[in-house]
Amino acid sequence: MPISRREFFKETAGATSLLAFASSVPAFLARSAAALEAGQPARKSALVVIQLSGGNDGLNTIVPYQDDVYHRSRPTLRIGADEVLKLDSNLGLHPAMPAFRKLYQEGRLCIIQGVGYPHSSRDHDAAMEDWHTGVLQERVPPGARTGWLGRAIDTACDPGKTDLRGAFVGEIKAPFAMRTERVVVPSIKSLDEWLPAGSLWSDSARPHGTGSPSSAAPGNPSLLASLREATANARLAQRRLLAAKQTLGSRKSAAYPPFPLAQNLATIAQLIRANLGIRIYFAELGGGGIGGFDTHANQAANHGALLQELADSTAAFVDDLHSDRLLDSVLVMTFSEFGRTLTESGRRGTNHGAAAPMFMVGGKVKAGLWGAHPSLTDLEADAPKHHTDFRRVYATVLDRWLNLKSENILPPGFAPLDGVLA
Amino acid sequence: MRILAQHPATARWLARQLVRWFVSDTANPSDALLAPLASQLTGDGNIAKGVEMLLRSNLFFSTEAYRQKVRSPVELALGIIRPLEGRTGTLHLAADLAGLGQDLYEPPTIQGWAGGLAWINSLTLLGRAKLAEALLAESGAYEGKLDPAAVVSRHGPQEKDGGKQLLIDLWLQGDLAPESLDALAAGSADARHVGARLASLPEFQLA
Repeated sequence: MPISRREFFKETAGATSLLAFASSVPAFLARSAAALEAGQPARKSALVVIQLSGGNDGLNTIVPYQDDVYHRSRPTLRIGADEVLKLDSNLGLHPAMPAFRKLYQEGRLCIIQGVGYPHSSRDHDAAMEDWHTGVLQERVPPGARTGWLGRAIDTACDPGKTDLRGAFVGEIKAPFAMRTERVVVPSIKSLDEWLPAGSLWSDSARPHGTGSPSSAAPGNPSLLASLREATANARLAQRRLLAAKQTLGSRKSAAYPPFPLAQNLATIAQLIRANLGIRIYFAELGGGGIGGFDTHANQAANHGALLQELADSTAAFVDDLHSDRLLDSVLVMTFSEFGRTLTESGRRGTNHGAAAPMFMVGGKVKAGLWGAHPSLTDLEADAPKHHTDFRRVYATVLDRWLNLKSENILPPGFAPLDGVLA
Repeated sequence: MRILAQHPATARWLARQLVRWFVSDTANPSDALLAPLASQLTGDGNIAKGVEMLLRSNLFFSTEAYRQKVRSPVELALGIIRPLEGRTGTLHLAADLAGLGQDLYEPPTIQGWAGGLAWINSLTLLGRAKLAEALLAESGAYEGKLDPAAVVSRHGPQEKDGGKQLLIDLWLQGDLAPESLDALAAGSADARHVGARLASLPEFQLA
């Protein structure tokens, strides 16, 4: 991302902060600021992955409310036709997710049903590692592995450059999925901890030609030159991030609810708005470790609260991006390490299961229910069976959304899904 | 294992790794240049002696090896803290270093960290500058335990520039482009602020 004259002028003139107050500045000024904004580097598609830690109960997320087997198996946890948020004559969303039904009706939500993989151990750590690496357990020695998103980030970086292509935003330790081999993925709790008060300075940030190579080794100045260029880019990033923060602060429509996930998505929106070149973001809901979705006992209230956090936070994120016309370049994907058993346990909870649905949200999804709801009479150890391997969903976002070749990132044999992305 | 350890290719490979670790991210020394080190390593397999040889070598002191390594987050933090003869809490530091990509004792793969320019992107450079600010701040997460002004008054009380040159000597071998010096003159002369600006310079990211 070399700086052009126009960029330099724009950043120093503060044009982006003019845009932030577009409604209160004369129209001609707002227009010229918008024209300058158009001079930014081309925006590429970005993926936001949200992990639901602990094993989300797919059957109480996308509820088969007409199915007798469902009602018989879940005497206290069942959600009836009067409560469910209907998607069609058989399936509906958990009542805590009106924000997702709205997205569904607006054509921005796709639900991929019956996703899983063969022979899941149904063990939290092992299953999570399967989802994070995209390579099932026994194939690769531990320690030699990278995350599937980490490999995508490595692939998206030009060798020898200082590209920024991935970021983890959240309180927990960065997930294995983001483990890279060749580049560093920053872990961000709050952007305030990443923005120095003073502005970065390097001689190359000045108009070109005054940079002095005097302190470089005579033979090989390339490393210092790279650092100077990267520092100049970081200066631009700093200004854009501050401008993006002002935009958020001045807008009322993007009211993020006070959930941790919402705050993390607000941070991601700030990073997206600043257009730093990041293609892959990762956020998490459920608290890491075993995770809040592991609802063995007293599931109803806990599960509802988490689903509401997911739906309300994601909807606020979508609103925020939409009002900046950025939604068409962003795709949100959720996953959990497994679903849960059909049968309610004696403690008003459910146990570790298998197949579950995944959500896709964005401006360019093909809205609707993808794939059949798994049968409740053809089970594997009391849990719905998968019909779609999760690596096919990964291949879909890699090949058809990020334009990164999934054959270089995933094991062979996983074709992308048709009918998920518009 | 014994056969592998005694194979000459092992010593050459190890010599190359040691050069990369201690001397330069960019150099690609010839096998001939590495031969003395490789044969030292083959001899009794004493790696410490090999490292000693490397650190006394002409290569180590040559201009070829000058500022040819990108500091890892740990090296960056130690590069600020050690010369200031200070100490600081490690818990918060460990979390900050992990954020910048170096989660100590937990490298991403068994190969360890990629190192070199892999440490650097727009966000990590901002995060590094922020870490320097936080380490040198009067209060906050690091409780103001580092005090550049105190170091200046111990070692260069006669300096008229508030200790700026002393910090440049201490941290950057007194070697900074004239433009960088100009820019440093522009901001606050407080030693903490001068230090934070110095630590965000491209030159400071190299060792």
